[in-house]
Amino acid sequence: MGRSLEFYFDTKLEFSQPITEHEFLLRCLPADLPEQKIEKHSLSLLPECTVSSLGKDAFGNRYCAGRVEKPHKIFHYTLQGKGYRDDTQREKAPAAPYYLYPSPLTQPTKELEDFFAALPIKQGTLETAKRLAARVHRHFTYAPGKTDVSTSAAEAFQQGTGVCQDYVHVFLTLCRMAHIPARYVSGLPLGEGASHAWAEIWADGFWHGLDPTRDCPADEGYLKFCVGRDYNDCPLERGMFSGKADQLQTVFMKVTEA
Amino acid sequence: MDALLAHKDEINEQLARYGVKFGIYKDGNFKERLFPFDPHPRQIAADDFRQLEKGLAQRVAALNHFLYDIYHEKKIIKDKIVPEEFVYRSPGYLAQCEDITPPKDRYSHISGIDLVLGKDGEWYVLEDNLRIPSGASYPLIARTLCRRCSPATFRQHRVVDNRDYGKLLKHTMDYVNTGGINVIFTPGRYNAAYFEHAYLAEQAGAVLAESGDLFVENRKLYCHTSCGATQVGALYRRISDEYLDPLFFEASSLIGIPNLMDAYMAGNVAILNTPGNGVADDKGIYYFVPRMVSYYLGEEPILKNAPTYLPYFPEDFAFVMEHIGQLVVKDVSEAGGYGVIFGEDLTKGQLDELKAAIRTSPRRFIAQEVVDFQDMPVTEGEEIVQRKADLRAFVLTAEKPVVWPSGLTRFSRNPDSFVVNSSQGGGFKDTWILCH
Repeated sequence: MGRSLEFYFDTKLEFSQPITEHEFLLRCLPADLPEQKIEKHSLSLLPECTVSSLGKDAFGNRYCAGRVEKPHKIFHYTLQGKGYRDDTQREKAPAAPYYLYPSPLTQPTKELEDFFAALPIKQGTLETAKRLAARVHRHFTYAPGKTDVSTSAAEAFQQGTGVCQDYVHVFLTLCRMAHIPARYVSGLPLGEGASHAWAEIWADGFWHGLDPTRDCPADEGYLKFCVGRDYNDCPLERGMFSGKADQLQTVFMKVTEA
Repeated sequence: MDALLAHKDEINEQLARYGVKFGIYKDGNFKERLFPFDPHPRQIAADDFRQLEKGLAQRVAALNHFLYDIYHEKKIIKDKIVPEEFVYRSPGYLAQCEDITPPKDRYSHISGIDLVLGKDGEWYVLEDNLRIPSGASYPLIARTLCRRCSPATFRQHRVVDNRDYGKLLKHTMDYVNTGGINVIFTPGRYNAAYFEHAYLAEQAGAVLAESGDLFVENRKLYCHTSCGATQVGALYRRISDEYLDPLFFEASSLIGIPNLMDAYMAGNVAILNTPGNGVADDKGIYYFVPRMVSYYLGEEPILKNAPTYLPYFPEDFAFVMEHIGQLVVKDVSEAGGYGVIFGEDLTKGQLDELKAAIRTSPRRFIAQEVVDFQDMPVTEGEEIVQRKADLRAFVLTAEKPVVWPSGLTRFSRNPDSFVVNSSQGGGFKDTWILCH
């Protein structure tokens, strides 16, 4: 069992005008876990800049914070490496209590409560969570551009369209209503394209990956970066800078089985 | 005293010149207005103050223990003193602050505790403010102006000097300072409390800075000063948690310092007050503060809460349902909601509606008995009238909690109102602690 994964993640931000005093925070670092051993990885940044030693946030995510003072028109970071995923190596761990309660982007509304009440769901188990994931998958039509990073579960649910982030937010809201601790996961699945989000639910002492966007388990083909109560706890990249510039972002990722 | 009272207008003119103002939200619009000063001071006798002081120091010590516990071991939850959901559903709880240990384990460095003096002669705590309690500058500057207008008054009345607030504040910042200068971080001159930020910086010998003056590099916070970029060791911030750092909290914040939390988590700067304190001054958590005193300190609480009931507990639920007409009901839910409702103001139909809301989600509400508190004389035109007043006491915690021998006394301008909050449009008084 287990899979050896080679990963490559590349993000380029191009600015129409030179910007200065650019502070950034990157969470696109592979988590080193019993079930996900990182054999090697490197993060390169352009322009070269002061990067803080890696910090760890309250959710256990590693991050890299830094600052580019001088004017620049391109900010480019590339992560590559190799890891080994083996879910038989997962270790029992308690779930932090806040994963059971609504977070800012997963506040329940009457509509979501009614939807939940109409489901034949009684107990907070892994099977329940799987059924919820399937139900969320059926509710949504995948449609990029209809939502953005600040869209809440309630808004996405109402319009019934969205991307992986929205599927996950609605799924998390429902799991928490069913008293199942649940969290948001950002990372890279096998394949090529853009980064992805899925969920983990806690049952019988373990976290279990579920991907409501694809209605399947998020297992050994998924490389985990970071977790949180919702997207806002663990965006892959955030930045602030001085300068009036338009920004163009190009993202490319690739994960292959080695 | 008459000499002092005669100077009411001059003192108010001076206060206006200094820009002593506060902002209120009315009908969704933000309005700034002057904070009217009434020269009749609240006077607290030395013995009474000693008791109050003990009670306040005890309460703040317990609240600091609680904050440390909630963001670390959570013993008070495990021991079933505080139900878990009151903590994790509180809008002031910040999961982002879990396991972070602030310098010297201090959470609430500057606490503002709101009390009223009941007609029974007892002090009751109405609210703890552990995030950014404002108001110390008002009695501070008012005292200075009063002394200037009528020095004789302060020779006749032996009043404990309150002008050491700046020193106390400096000591509080120095105590947690991790190496570097002390900075008061203001959202800027359009903020209603800007006068206070500037005045306190002056009094405490700290640098007053806005977000553009501050930046983080290599996990350290710096301030652009006339001597170049200088490292900051203690940041007394006067902006709310959610706007503090746009990379860790609210992304749209333009008044924060990007990566401040990174410097803070690395232990390279103290933030006063500590982010995440809102979980301890939450309306729902308030109920448990006297229990915290017993739990953490093993002492009997000296100060009382206003009698409060949590419909969450079945025995309280029954009481609330029966007596709702005589109670004040407060909505503690995260998003807006009902606010503060006086049962006696409601019609039968409205009462039933409120009862139904409490029945559906009991955790969302607390109910309190209306404390009948003492009136204070206020000059209105030529007349002296009686108005309700409360007291915000300031407790500064370095080695241990120290109560500032003064405080902000706020009064209601409306004769029928029990609401003395300055955001409801009232005035203020100086608070005299007497030497005898």
